[in-house]
Amino acid sequence: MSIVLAKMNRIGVFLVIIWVAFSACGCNKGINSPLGESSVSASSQGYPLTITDDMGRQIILTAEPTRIVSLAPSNTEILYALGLGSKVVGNTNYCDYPEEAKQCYKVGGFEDPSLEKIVAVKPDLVLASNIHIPSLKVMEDAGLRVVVLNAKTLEGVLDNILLVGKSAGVEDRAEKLTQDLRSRVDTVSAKVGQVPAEQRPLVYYELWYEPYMSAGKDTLTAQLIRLAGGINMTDDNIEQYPKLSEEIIIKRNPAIMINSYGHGSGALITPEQVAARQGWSHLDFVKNNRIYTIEADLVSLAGPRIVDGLEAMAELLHPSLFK
Amino acid sequence: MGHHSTLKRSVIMLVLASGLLGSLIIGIAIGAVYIPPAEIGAILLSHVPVLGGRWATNRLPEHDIIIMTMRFPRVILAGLAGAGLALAGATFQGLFRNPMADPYVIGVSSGAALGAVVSIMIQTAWNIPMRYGIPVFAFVFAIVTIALVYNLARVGGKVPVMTLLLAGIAINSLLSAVESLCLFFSGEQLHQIVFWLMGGFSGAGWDYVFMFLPYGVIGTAIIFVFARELNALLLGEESAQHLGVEVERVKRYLLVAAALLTGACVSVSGMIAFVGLVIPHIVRMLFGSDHRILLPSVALIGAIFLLLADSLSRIIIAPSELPVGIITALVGGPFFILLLRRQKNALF
Repeated sequence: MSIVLAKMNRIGVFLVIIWVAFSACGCNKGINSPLGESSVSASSQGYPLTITDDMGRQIILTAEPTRIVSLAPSNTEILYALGLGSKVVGNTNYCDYPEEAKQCYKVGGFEDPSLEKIVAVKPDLVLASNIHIPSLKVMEDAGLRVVVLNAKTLEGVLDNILLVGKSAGVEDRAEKLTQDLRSRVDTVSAKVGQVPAEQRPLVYYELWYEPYMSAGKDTLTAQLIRLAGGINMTDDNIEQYPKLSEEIIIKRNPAIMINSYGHGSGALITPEQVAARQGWSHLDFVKNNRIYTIEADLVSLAGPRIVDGLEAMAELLHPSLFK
Repeated sequence: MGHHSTLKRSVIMLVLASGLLGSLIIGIAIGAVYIPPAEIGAILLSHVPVLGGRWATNRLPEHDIIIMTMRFPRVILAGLAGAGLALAGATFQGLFRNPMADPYVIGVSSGAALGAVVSIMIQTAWNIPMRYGIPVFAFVFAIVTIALVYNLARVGGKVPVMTLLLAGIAINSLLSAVESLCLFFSGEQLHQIVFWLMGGFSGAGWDYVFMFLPYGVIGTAIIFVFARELNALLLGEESAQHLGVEVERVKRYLLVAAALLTGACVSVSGMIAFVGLVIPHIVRMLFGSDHRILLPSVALIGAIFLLLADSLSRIIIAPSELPVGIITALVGGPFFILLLRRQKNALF
């Protein structure tokens, strides 16, 4: 169901893109860029460089990348956080953070980017995700250097930042960024670490409301809830994004509900609307007013903002520790 | 008869071959990135061995890559899959003497898709790279499906429309339930598989063509070899037997061949509906039901149809692409209903 909805929502997105394309044709800097193959010779210290991506593939970079295409919002956020935004010559329709990323040339959707458009902007580095595996071979045949990023943990996100930094010749910046992020994570852990197990609240994360969906054990979101000193209600579900029966939520009676927003066409559900759901008035998080809202990207995108998400989550779960 | 029909056959083949060439050109000319037709011509000519050198100038290297590694394999693959699905449909229809037989309708496509899903899941679960094994799984599952459907639908020596459709529905829903179950447990691959199942050629390259070819060629060859036997089978199995056709053996070969083709098509392009149903019917209306003309015409028109459908899918909501399966279903659905209406008197 939700897939069908997502597809229908995409058609809306398509229409918007067509409109944007027609009204702002001048913005395709990527294609009209004067940079040709002759521009490869930048500062090429440390190159050729061999890196290993999240699929265990070895990629040889002959020179410092100057034209980068990002095929996932998380990759885009890493690039901008490392100050590489000016080198991004293409990203996807879903790349909306930071603000500048919206102005970038779009090569298509997240799961269905146009391979032709990727080639046309002549990138020397393409940052893909595991969703693009079926097209890896064609992209390689086309002579593209494709690095697949697929972080499933916070540690993986930090590794990816280092990998991108190393690939793009800004290893020092990546070191600095990851150290900052790591120390922020440590600060949270130090505070939350004192909380005894029996005081850790049971957390219901609502990813979607029709049907009710949450995050399974092996997702970034679930890891964040654990790191923030909570217990993820759906850690025992086998699926990545389990659909939940209302009965389970009523039965487990979690102490806190984290409500996410920002998934495609999904409306922002207010705490009042949650409280008004049939039979939910007896739930602890309704009675105690502990329904909180966090932007979905902060707790699910494998980019640097995941640490913002962790801090926000920890503060909501244990407000007394963060005064 | 002989002389006249040879001439007719050559004319038909010539017309269809030009049609195929035309749709290949359209397919190569259309894409997300605009490349002037003259440049496309120069790019293609520059790759002709020996003579190509003189066209090697006046083209952008990235346009060369787009044409040679993306659009070219894509149109080849769309043509091959169209021919394959249409041939599989024609074979099932001839074998069962049943106009509603089509790999999609009778569940063979679903079987092949389930096989492909299972093989993709095995690949990621145990990290075994075996992309070229996907068609093998698809084929094995397709053959099991067709055996099930055939045995369920057979009444005496015949396969009536009614029972075939019912068996198809039953097997289809069973298979899609199993498939949903697989998807349920597939975790992060879910998106990838669902997207592929919708049917289409976006992201296809030469590797997909090579994945298709061995199975496609074997399947097609077997079917063409048995064109005469398919003609004999049109008269009924008993009459065919009297004409010296070893019916059971021929049937087995043809079922395996059609399953091979279906498996190969589904492996490279997901679920594309109704090509196997619509094309053989149109060809029969145009050229009659002599399989010696029918089969090659079906292959060519199937290729043309899917090529044009794929081209349409690339422009209809440009810059995005519509899954081509939606287009074939929009064309095929009404056609299927029309056929069903015509059959109604025979059924009830």
